[in-house]
Amino acid sequence: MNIFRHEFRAHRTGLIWWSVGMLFMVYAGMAKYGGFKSAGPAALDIFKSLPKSVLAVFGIGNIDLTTAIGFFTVLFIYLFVMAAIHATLLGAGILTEEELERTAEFLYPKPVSRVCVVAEKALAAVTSVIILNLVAAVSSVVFVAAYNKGGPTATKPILLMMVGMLLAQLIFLSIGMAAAAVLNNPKAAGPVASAYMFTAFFLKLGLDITEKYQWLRFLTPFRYYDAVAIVKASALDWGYVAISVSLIAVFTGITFYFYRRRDLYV
Amino acid sequence: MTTVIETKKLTKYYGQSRGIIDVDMSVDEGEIYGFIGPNGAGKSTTIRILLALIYATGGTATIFGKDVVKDGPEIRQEIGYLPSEVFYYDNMRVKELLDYSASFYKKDCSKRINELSEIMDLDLSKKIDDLSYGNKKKVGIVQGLLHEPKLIILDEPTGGLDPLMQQKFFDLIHEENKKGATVFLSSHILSEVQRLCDRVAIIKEGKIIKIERMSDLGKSNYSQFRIVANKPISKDYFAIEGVSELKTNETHVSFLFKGDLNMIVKMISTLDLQSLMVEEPDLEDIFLHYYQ
Repeated sequence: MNIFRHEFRAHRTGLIWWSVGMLFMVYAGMAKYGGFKSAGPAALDIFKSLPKSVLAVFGIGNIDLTTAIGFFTVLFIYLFVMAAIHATLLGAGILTEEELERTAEFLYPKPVSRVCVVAEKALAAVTSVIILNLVAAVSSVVFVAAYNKGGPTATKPILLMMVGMLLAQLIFLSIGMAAAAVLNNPKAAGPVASAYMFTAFFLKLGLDITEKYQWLRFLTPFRYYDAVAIVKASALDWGYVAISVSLIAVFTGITFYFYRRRDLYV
Repeated sequence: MTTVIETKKLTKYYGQSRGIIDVDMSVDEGEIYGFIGPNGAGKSTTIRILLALIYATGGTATIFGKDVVKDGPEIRQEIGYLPSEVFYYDNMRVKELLDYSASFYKKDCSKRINELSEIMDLDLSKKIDDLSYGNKKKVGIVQGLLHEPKLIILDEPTGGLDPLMQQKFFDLIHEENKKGATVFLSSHILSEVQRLCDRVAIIKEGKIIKIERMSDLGKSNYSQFRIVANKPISKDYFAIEGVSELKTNETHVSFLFKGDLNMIVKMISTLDLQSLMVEEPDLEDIFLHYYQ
């Protein structure tokens, strides 16, 4: 577990900054809710007058924004994107950093197999992803509860959203790692994985605007865990959970398969 | 005698471009084996295949009789490697890096870390980022030797080390060798190889062109002549069979000679000499032969 310890320590400072950012997002978002609520029905009328496509771009779904949990569904997509960026970059970065920082000639001549390196690095990355998710979950529950005076209870839907977000984070993490394992040029892994991540995000926005092409929703993990749907059903869609777990398994398999076989960039 | 490294028809292509072609080598236990050739000849490629950083496109390579890929982790317990360019985790301290390095091996290396750092005059408390290149190289030497490996692989090891440190480093390598370690050393610096090695393989454009005992390479039967006469010497005076590298400049002549020494001495005796020098050609001269 020496590589795990080393990796976790190496990424600790970065994780702290991501966590601070996440905490600030939740705090700042819910503080806006305080102002929004005090403005009363007038603010709500403005939203009602806007076309659906504009609302969709801002992540506003068919839900009562005057409730704390309703408002949080809008905030959630921003937390989601942040967590996705973190996971994608971490996945691509943790497998390519030794080559890019040129420490590969230190690590890989050690008596350690590629499989072991990938496993321990993946474990360190998963730990980071879980910690960021916990920071988002705890701060969301706490700040939403602070503004939720007399509204419907918000803790359960928030936790469900966070479970969904965690699964999506793991998808993006495994895609990042798979890109690092498959591509021969380690410099390309980060950009390729990020390009997919942002495409998936804009695809989600697009699918929120239009009724057409809904079959494309399987291509974007952002769509698997839609906040409004989770609040309304008070449950996750098990079909998407199953898809998520399968994708994580497939990309993890790809990572191990290809990383064992490719030449290191030294 | 046990063979430590053995390659058979080892070949590596990077896509279309040549890495190494049909490299056959066998390094015996306890010897210091030199691997020499200019930059880009395939020295690092060979070493990286031995360490399974990259994979061969053809042929086989074994270390301690085991496959370098399949049994890589196992055989690397007993390998120490110093790359030609050293890069480490900038945020770590030297001590942390060496402990991290030691954590991969099944033995306690703390005593050896202290001994080696002392010999190489290395400050363990410094941050890697704050070290000069030469000092990073010292970190590389210590991390390569701290587990007392049975096989030491060195890729162009002396770059960045001052002459004093080079000497200490060579002494260290000699000592490890005396204790039984096999050493595989790649270099493009002949004097380095000349000083250390028992045998040498010469690689050119990806192919081994010669493997010879260091002692045989020195005894090549060539003699280097340098003559200064009192009168100008005609350009073709020494242009006879057995003479090569002939350079004539008025009264100054130099050439390599292989053949009947009595004949050439007779020719020289007819000249009005100012000075005459006959010496063994150094490896540099012999080496140039292989590269022509």
